[in-house]
Amino acid sequence: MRIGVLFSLLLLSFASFAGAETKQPAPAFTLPKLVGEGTYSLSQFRGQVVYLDFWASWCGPCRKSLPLLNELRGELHKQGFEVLAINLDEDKASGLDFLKEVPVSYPTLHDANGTTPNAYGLRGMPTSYLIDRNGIMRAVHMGFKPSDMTEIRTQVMQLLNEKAR
Amino acid sequence: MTSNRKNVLAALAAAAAMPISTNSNSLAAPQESKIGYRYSQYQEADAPRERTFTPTIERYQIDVHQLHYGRPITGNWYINTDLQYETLTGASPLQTYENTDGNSVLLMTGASIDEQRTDLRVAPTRYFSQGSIGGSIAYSTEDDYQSIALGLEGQLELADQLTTLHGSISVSNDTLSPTDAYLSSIRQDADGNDKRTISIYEGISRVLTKTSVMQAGIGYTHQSGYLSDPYKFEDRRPGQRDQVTLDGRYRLYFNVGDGAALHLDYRYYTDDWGIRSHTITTRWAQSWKANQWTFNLIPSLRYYRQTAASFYRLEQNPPDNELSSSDARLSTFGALTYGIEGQVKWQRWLVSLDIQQYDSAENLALIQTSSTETPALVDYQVVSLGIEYRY
Amino acid sequence: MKRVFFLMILVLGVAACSNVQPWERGYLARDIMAWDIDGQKAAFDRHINFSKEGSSGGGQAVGGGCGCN
Repeated sequence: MRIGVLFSLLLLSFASFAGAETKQPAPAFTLPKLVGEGTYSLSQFRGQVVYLDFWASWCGPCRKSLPLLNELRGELHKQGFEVLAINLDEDKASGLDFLKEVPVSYPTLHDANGTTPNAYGLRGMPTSYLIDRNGIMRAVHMGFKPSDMTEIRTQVMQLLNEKAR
Repeated sequence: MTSNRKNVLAALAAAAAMPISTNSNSLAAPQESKIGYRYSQYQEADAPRERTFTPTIERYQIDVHQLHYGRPITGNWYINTDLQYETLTGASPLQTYENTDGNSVLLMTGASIDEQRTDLRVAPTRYFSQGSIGGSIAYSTEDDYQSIALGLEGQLELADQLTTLHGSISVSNDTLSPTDAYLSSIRQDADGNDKRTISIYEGISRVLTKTSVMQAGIGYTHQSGYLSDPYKFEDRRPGQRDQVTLDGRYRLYFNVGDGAALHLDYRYYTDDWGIRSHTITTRWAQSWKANQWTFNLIPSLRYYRQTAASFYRLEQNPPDNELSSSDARLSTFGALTYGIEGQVKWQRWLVSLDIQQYDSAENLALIQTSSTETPALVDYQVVSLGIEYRY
Repeated sequence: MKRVFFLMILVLGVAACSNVQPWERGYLARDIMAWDIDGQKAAFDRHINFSKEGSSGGGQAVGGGCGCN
């Protein structure tokens, strides 16, 4: 039994050494919906592959990223892919105006206090986090240009193939 | 224990299948393409009749067309192209001198000239996660003057993500070929001569608060070659010029209307020809929004004042072996520019109208100098219409 | 006079330091807060001022010349 414990500890230490940055669970949150009443929690989406996108009405590249993500989401939603877009405008109205120009079908949330970007260690706008079916952060994307979609698609497909625990 | 091991192994396996990737794409590269056109009409006021001893008093009128095209290129590149075409008619000052009564006399060129100038500039920029590096090449050509300029600039964002360093360097080579060279020995001397310029600028910009930013910088320019004006009488300037500028800019946001910003710009200039100047520009940019429309109204005020060059003199026949120039642009004067710009934005379109009035006068310098008049000081008006499309 | 002004700029820069987070840059990203609200207009204004006054530069390295009289 002691050997078993030691072995597990060794493996665990290996795991934390080799994948300290690969095994971070995505910080939980509950935020108000941007459109309409109610809230969304990250835990609601456990079991799906989640692309968590932090955006704002003043972020130039977001004009390109939102429609492209909407397309990808429409394609892969049935396989368990979801996009959660957290709007960081201080004033909700700016975010809503933006959505009128660039509408999307995936859930949009609002965080006016900066608690979620702080928890995720956000360093620039826009930034997105790819979360697997078990709620673990697997990739970070800083900035956006249309050619990034190829890599995002590959990563999402890979995560979709992994089974939830 | 056993299930613990299984979990760890499973997690390791999953991690091995796809390690964490931090895709540090350039945060700054703009992704929008832009096409812009601007037409401007520049009109100088007539020279003062009672001080002008030649028949022509009509000064310059210039029509300017500007075309701009910018677009992202695969990878992290962005390219900006600017084409400018202008046509010019009118007469210009030949010389100003003080007569025996102590009044300034202005001589203007006789015939009205008719000129065109074309200017093309191409500037690609490569963006990185922490900044950018850009190059530029510009070529300007007109009947009697060609200029080619190369530039390099860079920006670096510091770790705090609030401070950015700017640096740029530019070199240019101009060639003169004055029209009607047979008319004067001065124009003959200038023909084929050139002017070389090298310029460096270093600046630092900083985000101060959520609503304010500032920038400060220092610039140095060195010019050499033929620096006189071949179209003026008694115009003999040094073969070199060293110029230094210190500048600062400030922007402050106000929650007035649908947003407003106060602009404050200051520049101090000094050179080894004896000219020192101060320039202060202030603007209030007011924004209103309605549905998908945005209206911006931007009134502005600029005050400029300079002191004269050491060789600025108003003698009718200064000694040939001495430096001299009676060019009003080298005299002591002050100038005020009043401007107002209106912008209308709708979806991807932007239309703007800009009107400016520039008045210059000896006493606007606000400092005591000599009592000579400078009739060649110019007042002008600019009306400008711009249209832009982003996609 | 210029020394006082630059001291002011430095003091302003240091004293007004507050930690602005990357997601709090919304106001600064507004078009009206740009160094040059309209790039073409700014280039044109610079060109006229360099041609009609005795000074040049400020804000960037000076570009190419012209026979602008």
